[in-house]
Amino acid sequence: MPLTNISRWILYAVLLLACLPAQARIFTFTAIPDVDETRLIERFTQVAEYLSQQLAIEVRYLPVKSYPAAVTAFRNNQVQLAWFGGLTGVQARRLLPGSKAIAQGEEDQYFKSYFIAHSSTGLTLAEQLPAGIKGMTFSFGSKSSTSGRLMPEFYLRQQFQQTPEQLFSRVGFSGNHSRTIALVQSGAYQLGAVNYKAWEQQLRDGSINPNRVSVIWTTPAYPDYQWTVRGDVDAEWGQGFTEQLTRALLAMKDPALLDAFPRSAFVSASNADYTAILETAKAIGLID
Amino acid sequence: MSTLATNWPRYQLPRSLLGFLGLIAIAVICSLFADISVITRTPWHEFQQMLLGASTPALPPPALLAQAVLQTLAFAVVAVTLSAVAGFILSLMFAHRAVRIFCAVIRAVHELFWGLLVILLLGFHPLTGILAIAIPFSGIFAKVFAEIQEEARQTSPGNSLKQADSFSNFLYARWPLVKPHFSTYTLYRLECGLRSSTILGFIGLPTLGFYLESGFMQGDYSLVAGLLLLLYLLIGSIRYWAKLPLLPIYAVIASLYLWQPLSIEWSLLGNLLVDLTPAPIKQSSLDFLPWLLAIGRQEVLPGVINTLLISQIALAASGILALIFFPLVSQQFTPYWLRLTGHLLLVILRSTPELIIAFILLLLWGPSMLPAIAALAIHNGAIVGHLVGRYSNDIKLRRDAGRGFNRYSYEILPRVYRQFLAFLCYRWEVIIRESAILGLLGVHTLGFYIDNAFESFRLDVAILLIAITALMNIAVDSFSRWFRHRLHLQSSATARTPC
Amino acid sequence: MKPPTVTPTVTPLIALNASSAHYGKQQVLASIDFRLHQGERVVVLGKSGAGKSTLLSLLNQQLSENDESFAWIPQQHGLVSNLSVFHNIYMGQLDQRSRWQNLLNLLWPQPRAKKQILGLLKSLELNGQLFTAVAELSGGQQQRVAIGRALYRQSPLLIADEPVANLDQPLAKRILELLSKRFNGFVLALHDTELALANADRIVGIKAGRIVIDQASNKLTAKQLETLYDDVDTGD
Repeated sequence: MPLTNISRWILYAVLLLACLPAQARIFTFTAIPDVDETRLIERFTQVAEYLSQQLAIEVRYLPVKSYPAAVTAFRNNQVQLAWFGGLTGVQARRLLPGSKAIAQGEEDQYFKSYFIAHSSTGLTLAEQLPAGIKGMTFSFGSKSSTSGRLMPEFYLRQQFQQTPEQLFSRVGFSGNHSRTIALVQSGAYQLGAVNYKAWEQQLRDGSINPNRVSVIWTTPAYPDYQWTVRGDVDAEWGQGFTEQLTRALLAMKDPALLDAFPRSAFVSASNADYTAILETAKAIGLID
Repeated sequence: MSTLATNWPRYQLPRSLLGFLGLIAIAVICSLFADISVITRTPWHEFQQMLLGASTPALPPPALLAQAVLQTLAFAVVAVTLSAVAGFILSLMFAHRAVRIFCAVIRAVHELFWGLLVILLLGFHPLTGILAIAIPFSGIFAKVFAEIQEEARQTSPGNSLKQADSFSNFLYARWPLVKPHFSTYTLYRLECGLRSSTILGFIGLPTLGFYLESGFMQGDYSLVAGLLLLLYLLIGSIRYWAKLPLLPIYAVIASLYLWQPLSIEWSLLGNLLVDLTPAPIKQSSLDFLPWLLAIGRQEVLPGVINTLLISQIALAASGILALIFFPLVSQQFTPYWLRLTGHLLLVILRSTPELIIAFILLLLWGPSMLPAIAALAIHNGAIVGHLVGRYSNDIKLRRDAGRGFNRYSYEILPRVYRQFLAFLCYRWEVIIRESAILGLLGVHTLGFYIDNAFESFRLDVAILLIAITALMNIAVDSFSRWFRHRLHLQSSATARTPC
Repeated sequence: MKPPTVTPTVTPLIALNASSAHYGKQQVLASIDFRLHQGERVVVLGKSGAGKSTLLSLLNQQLSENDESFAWIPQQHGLVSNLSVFHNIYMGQLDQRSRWQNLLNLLWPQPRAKKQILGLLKSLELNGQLFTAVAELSGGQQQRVAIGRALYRQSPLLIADEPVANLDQPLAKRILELLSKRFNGFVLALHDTELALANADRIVGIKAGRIVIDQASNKLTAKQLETLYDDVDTGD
């Protein structure tokens, strides 16, 4: 682990202070808690420092416990910028008209999810999900996750013309990608769907035992994570702030910084890039 | 009358025993319809990690830990004090049906759901934590205080002081009678407050639960073990530091510690009101009824059925577990040192958040209603066992009373039985409330659908489902009252259970 | 009535030598010497608070330590009020049966035990109360249930603290006769001197924590016994 335990906790402490409402508004951002908090904190404290340098203002990261909490904090102006998933971004921009998607990871233009299976299922990597998954047990990640729920559910419905509840004997929501992997690896659930980036990172960390759990299918590509900013930041931090912020994000080139996400680079994004996600969410009934 | 009939009277099972057997029978019937199964595969890797974590407990660094502990304590102390006062005032007006309904509604909603609602308005301000606990607790306090006063009224010398004004009457004739019960109950409640305050960390408030959830979600079981040990210590030590006269002092210190200027953005209130408006009305369409029916069919109906199935099975299982647990902490059976171990076990079982117990069981048994049921049963069984054990200590046995199993079945159990059943009835409502929370595990209880609604920002649906949960709680509460009445179970002050 | 059969060659069932007992700091019994032999029928007399119950506790303790089988009726009866008369009496034989048999009888009384206990109820004048919960009985009835439990033990020795205190005189008389008939020996604490003289072989009088009388009952008169209830020297 790149950070020692102690420094990790000091970071927690700093973050905790950041939880308290600010007297004068400090530019604050959050992120959906899609993986381990340790990783998130590594990732976003570095980003806070970086942005602080680039924008010459104080920048803080506010950790939240759930996907909707991230959206709510954004909508309530407790944070002005957020690293959302595809679905949470769409939700947030619908709840707060005027907010904009400004940047996404290079990989987020063609993101994908892995379907994983416990070894006892006997399933192996295939071009298509086998019909044999019917009646098995299945775990999504968080209910509002794009890669851990929305898109996997979309492709499941597309292929089988059934809701997951009809298709599987049991459907769970583990909470995040790491838990999904742990639950499938332990055999509590036979199948699961995870963010491919989270999977690959944990594979490198060695916390996955390939004899117990493996990838059986990869979804087609879809747009996912993006930075979304409130529409009223220019009014508070001055004309052109959004542009300045976008430039700073796109200019993030330090591999140490990018690896933490993990993304190879950031590219510009717009609300329109996520129309497909919105439509999918509507089709599934996650958005009215 | 024939001699035969007088010589051979028929034995009839006592009504109270039939009552419990009835509960078990209902549970057995429910389990036929409930989704219960055990699917074991390879939980050992994760289980090993957990055991490893349990044997190497770790804590966050002192400064951070101190802050988390202080926040946990402060939320609990302030919220319990506030709600004791509010509950007392409400209890004086309990004769009004409107007040009774109001109290029933606010206590029927779990702290976590209150937390989720208040966060929408206040964000992560300390007041969020305080209100999330104090609102439901006020409803509970009001009910219990009203019951205590009602019992006192029946025995009070106030009946012979009719000429005195009602205030003096209360002060002289009633207060001395109810005060010890108020005091005991308020301290009981503090234990629940600590637990609730911890749980609120799960939704982001900076209490012990915040780190507990983090540790848990990232599989850092050492941290989980360390924090749980700390929680046991806090709860186990309550009786040494919590004294009623000190509570207001603690509350003042805690409020000062938590104090932060609060700026409510009124626009948020506007947002909230818009969100709470049912979707069809918002879109000014006339499809209100179909909207309601769809929710009713897809969410309310399965939610209510699953919640009932889980809680009825959990209720009976809690009862059986309590009957097994209580001798462990009873002076009638267990020598001092073993009893300490028994106490330790019960503190652990009743203080570990159900969500964590359920997750461990999920790993072991795979997904079904079973982990949720077992988690509820273990938690509530340990609480009832603890209370029954304590109650049994007051029994004075004759010198030649039997030992071992004979003592258990003939001497102690019949004597504690009514109390036991009264305790269990009080848990009924609580189990329903808590089963909603375990919906987060993917079991389709009402709580599962409420969580769904929060996740997809359908506050109108969330509030509707919360209202249904509240109604269900109220229904179960009145049923349990009827049940207690039928079985002649005294609703005596000692029957009240902590959380 | 038989004279006391004190034969020094037989080891007594109970032997208290200069025993004393305290309740908190207060001494309740002082330098008690007491022996009980098999088959002796002893009544302990004394004012309330004189130390009768404490003496019986000492006896109780020694008998238990010596593993003697005996029946015991405490002053408060020691009944389980939620259980029926049947169950309370059945409790007298709990330790003589298997736990499964006991459990079965707890849940559903078995014919054999029912028959035995019905017979007992007749002699205790408790007809028709077999399955009444003890809580629903009068004080006198409850007392007879406690006696029933002691009888059901079928032990040769009875220790009883005021076993007929709640019964009217004629009934008390009949019940004491029943006890005399069914037990080989007993130690009873009573407060009625007349009943004592009628039923005991030997009377022990206690005053202010000391034994002041210990004689064969046929050598004692009611007059002598009244000294136990004098108001002078209330030691407690």
